[in-house]
Amino acid sequence: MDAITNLTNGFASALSLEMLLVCFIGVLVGQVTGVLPGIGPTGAMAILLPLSFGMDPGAGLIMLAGIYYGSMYGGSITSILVNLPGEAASLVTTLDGYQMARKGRGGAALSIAAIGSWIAGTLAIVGLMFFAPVLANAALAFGPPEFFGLGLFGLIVLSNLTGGSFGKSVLMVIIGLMLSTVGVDLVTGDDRLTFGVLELSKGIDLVPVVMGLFGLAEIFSVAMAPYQNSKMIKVKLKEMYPNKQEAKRSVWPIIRGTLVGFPMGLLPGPAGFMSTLISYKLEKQLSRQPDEFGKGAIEGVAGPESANNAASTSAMIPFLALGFPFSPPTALLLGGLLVHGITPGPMFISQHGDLFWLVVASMYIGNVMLLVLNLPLVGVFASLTRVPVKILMPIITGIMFIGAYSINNSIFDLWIMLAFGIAGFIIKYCGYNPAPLVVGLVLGTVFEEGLRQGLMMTEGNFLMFFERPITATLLGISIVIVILNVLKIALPLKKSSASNKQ
Amino acid sequence: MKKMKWKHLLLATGLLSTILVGCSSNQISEANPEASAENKLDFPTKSLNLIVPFAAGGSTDTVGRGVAEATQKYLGETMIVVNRPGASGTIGVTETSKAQADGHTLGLVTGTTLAMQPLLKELDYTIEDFEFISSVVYNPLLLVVDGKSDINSIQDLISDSKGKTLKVGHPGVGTVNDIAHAALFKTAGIKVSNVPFKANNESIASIMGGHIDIAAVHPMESAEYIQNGQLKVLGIFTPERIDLFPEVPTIAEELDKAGIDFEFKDYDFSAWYYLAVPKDTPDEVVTYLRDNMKKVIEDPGFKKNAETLKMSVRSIVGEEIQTQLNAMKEANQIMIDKFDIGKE
Repeated sequence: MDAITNLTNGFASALSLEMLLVCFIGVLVGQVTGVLPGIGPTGAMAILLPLSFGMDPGAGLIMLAGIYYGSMYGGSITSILVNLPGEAASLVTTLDGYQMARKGRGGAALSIAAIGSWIAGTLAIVGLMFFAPVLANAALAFGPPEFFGLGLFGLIVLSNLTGGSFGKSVLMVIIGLMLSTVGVDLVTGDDRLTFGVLELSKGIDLVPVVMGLFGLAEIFSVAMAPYQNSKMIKVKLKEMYPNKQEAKRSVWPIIRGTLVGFPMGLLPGPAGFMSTLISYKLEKQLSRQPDEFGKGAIEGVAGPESANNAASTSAMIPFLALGFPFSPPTALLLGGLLVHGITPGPMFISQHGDLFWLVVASMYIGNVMLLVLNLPLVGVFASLTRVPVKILMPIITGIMFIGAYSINNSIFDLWIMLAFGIAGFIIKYCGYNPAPLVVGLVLGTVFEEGLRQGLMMTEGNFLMFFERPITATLLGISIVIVILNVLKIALPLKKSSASNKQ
Repeated sequence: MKKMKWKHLLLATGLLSTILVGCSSNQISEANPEASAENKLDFPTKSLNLIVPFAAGGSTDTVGRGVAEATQKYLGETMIVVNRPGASGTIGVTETSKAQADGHTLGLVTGTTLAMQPLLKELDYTIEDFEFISSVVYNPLLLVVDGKSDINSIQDLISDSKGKTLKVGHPGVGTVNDIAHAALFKTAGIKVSNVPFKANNESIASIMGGHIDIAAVHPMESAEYIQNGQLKVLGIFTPERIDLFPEVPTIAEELDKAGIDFEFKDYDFSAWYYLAVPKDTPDEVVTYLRDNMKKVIEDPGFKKNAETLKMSVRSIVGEEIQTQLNAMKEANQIMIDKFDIGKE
């Protein structure tokens, strides 16, 4: 087969000492940025971009791509061990991962996250290899109305992500939606809710919010809590790896996570983040013990961690096969190639076939490197929890400030992070969970843009949305879910206590 | 317990200030001996910063990184690209205007941030707040439709869109694209609906996906698709045809064929990039920068970079830029009033 020959050639060049070295540098930097809260792949890639100018195009691309998918591995470590998302896309991993760690199963959670990431990453490369052009063109069928449908569907399905009180979740989602409206209006160009602050007109970024709500708030809680050195969980060596039952329970979540993450990565927007939310919800819905979620269910780690890796790999498809960088990290990959006079696009695979297959081969290798890097080191990472809180937390705080600053080089973002840190602390103190707020913030933008772009396209005729098959399906399902839930509450057939569930 | 908490807070603050100081400090490396020999001026004494008002990875950023790379060779100091994206580039430009006026902080500013945005909203800077070093490149606009479309020229477009509303990909109020669209479609009497997108490549994806009809986009974003037939060019928004696309007619030529006189045929609807410093920068430093940046712009490596990005290098220096920007601003004001830009 043609692909196999090409891939063999790709491997032949990717296995050279130089390529192995740049690949290793890439995934190592990615792993580290993933672990460090707030510092994301975009920042690390921007810093190393000038370094790639001096390399040949293939080596530069391998290194930068390595940072991107490598960061998806590292993100879970901080989430699981210290309840701080290392990456926005690892936010949901804190929900169950940290609980597992508190029960002494942190090692198992770390291993499953690494294995799930590896399986998902590798399967996604297979998809990238065989179907890149087809899938890329299929992604073009997603226009504004489809994104509106996706946004609405997401809001309905994900609003009660963490369970608990429905009213509390909805309140958080609504606050998130309101925050998503801050910034320049897409259509008129007017400033909305900026109170004359120029910095606010770019809107509120996801990373400072996540770092504040989940990072700083957690640090405040730890600082306020009665001081005890032994609070941190100790992981025994023999409990470092998943037991049989945990491994068995993770198989399907990993596969489903891959299947959720892969198509999401093809689409613009915060694909990695959204895919983890959907995967988490899906696992919770399908689980036979949904009550366990939020209290340390392994499925809640396996699914989302696989989903974000599949998404970060499939995000390479629209980039390599169409030339569209749909996410900030792929925009940096584009910058790296353009400098060498190579434009990714519909002709990239035919014109620069050697480069394409080199990158594909290097991604297989990089994923193996990451697995090797992660699995044996589980013990080392887990020992992080043995570092006294008074030493660990200030270091993490410092890193978070660097991370939040590095996204836009903006001091203002640090204030946003601080404000959300205080808000997050209060929210948690009052018994709310801030995760749905982030769902609202992310999906609000997708929803509003899709709706307004779509209405401009149809000249204000909303019914025309239903003429588009994908949109109609998404909207149809959303409507059915709402009706079913309303019926559940309204119908007297069931006991009134049914309304308290869900 | 209370004490513990304050200790933490202190530590965090301490760390934060170390970090912030670290961010602004610059290591001093050896100055280019050749440069200091021909000029007694004590500049540059440390590495330079280049504020790019758009996100890393975009077209403006790529231009900035090209400049930064070539600068090293002539100034003997590293130039660090600092991305300050947001609010159509006005955040980064505001920051440039307020930077320390010692020549170590330069800004990559654009025609729209200086000659268009201030007309649409209140901003903390004007053209007069800058000393201009040099123009860098300009990035023309091409009018594109889907490759499979029946429309082959602007005349086709005019006759075909009678009684219809054209769906136009629109990357934001006050962008060059916005002005170009308004000037063309209002002159030709075509009814349009502006579908907003955050970036031109999203518009292009939407044209190829059949969701919208048309957009003005830069060659860097579209050349690849034009070459393989997924997009079709109808015209270029420049006063004259350009070397990169000699076979593409100008918008004015095409409108002329349709019997319409284009009032703004001498206006160049291109994205212009300039290097600027705050206005209080010492004259010697400004002169020094102008002399050296001229060399940077004419550097073969830089020229080759610009070529691969499908941008044209044009060297305009100093005062001339001010004149050009003021003329641009005047024309923009006329178009804003005439075409109701930003008032829909």
